[in-house]
Amino acid sequence: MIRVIGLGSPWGDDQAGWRAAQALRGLFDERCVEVSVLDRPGPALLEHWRKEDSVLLLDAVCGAGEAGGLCCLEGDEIARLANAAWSSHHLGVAECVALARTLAAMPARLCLLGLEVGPIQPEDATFAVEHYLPQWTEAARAKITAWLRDPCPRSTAPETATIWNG
Amino acid sequence: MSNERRIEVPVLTRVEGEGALYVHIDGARVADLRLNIFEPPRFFEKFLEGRSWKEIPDMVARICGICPVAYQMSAVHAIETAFGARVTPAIRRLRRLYYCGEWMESHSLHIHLLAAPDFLGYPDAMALAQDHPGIVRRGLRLQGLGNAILGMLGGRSVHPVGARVGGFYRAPDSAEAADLLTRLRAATQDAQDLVRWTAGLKLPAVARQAPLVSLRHESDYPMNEGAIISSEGLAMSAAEFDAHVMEHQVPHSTALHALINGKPYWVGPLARVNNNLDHLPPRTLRLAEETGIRWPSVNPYHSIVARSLEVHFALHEAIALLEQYAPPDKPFVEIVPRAGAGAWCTEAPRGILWQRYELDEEGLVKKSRIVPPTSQNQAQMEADLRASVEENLDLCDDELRARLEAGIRNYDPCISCATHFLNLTLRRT
Repeated sequence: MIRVIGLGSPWGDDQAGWRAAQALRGLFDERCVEVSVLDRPGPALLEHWRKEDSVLLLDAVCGAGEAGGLCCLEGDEIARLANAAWSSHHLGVAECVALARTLAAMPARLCLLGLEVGPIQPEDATFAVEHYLPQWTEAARAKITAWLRDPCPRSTAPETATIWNG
Repeated sequence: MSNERRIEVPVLTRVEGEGALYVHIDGARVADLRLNIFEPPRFFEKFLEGRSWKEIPDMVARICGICPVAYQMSAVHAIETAFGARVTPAIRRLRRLYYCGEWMESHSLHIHLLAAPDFLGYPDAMALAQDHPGIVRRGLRLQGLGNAILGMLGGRSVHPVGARVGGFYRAPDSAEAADLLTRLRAATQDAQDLVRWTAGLKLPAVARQAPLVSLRHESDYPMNEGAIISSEGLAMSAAEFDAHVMEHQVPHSTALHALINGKPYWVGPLARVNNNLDHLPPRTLRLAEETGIRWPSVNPYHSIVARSLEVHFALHEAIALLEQYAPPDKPFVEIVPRAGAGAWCTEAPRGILWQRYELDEEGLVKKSRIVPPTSQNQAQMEADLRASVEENLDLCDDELRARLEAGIRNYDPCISCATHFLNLTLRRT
């Protein structure tokens, strides 16, 4: 199963992940591609995949790039961005992926497609998000299409498992 | 040579939200100790004014991502009290199931990702997971099951939207309930192992004398209902809460401190277990006895064991509720608003959460008050930390800092609920 997960919240540019995921709904056979959106799930993110899955995360990111830029990170590249000092409020995507890696609970394929945004404000999405959203959605569509053509998962970790196996 | 010591820690990690602690030790005396909560107040009580009774459960769920059910349940019961509404036994059981989900989710997160590294010598849960992946996986499984209960009744596990005044917008169908029941039954060994594992942790032996305050129901282990009692003999209804509990502002915290009849007091899982041991079902009580802890306990480090007992209890309670579940004809009772006031208290994972609403004849909120458990524990946390400093003066600054941080985590403070942020400053002179 390919799982497309839009991450974010209803606020400002943070809604970008949800918007992109929603734009992908109905474009693929639902038996092969499941599209969902999550509101800042914390470690519960690990509940949303299984070892045999291909997982595409769509999220607004604040990196070094300019607003509107796209970034693509695969597997361990995401985990390497994790910060060491945690409070429950700091359990972001990178920390959860790092935890999944440590627990051998990574999916077979994991990709984060990020859209660079500015500081999140409790307002509507900015011009950059509105303008680049179609391009971002197209990149996600292309990734899913490539995965559908290549159904044999490549493992991103030496061992894959799930938190549901003891 | 000066006997003064000041120790500062810029960020206290592994708590819900953020804050700071400052300690000034003068010789063998704590000259100053402040649990600083300096994030701006959130003004939720003011936001609620003028809003319809129908909006309140969704709005208060936004106060906390970890314990939204507690905010929703205290609110719906308080508003139903104001309107003179009574829910059906079936809705009461669904609300109890909903709360089981929150206890499982919140306690499992705290035990494994926030508290456990303190007792096993790891800086954080990631380091713990590297050496003990099975323990952290078990925690995530139990947390996931709690989330599944919340998702089934609330529509989603974070900031759920399924609860309403009068019941739920939707009740699960038989197939959903059966599927969840199967998953819960498969986790009973995990819950049992969790209790035995926490009981085996090397926990400091300390004693803190303070009133332990919780709900007490006539027959059930308390979640949504019961009188408010203290270990010192006080018993009161939710309507009498503010006659005994006084909140006050301190300069170093944007969250209010609370005192019960003028004294710091202690709410949370340890208070609940202590005050309701006889309402634990036999299988959970047997485990409590097996731990070797002499209950009731006044050692705040036993809070992690109390939390694990409540995970075990909540799992089995959820199983029992689902075994007798049949979808109700209607998942809510009709509500007719009227002018009035109502107060209610439920047991959030971190302790009693009290709310009071005054509403007009259309059901618009005229006034509200919310007293979260972390605010109630703040004064007692400071008293506990003062005692910890005095008991551990021989420790070096780093060891003392670690001890105090662990001491704060015993209370699982949800600073986000009280407001947000914690740094630690320790000064010795």
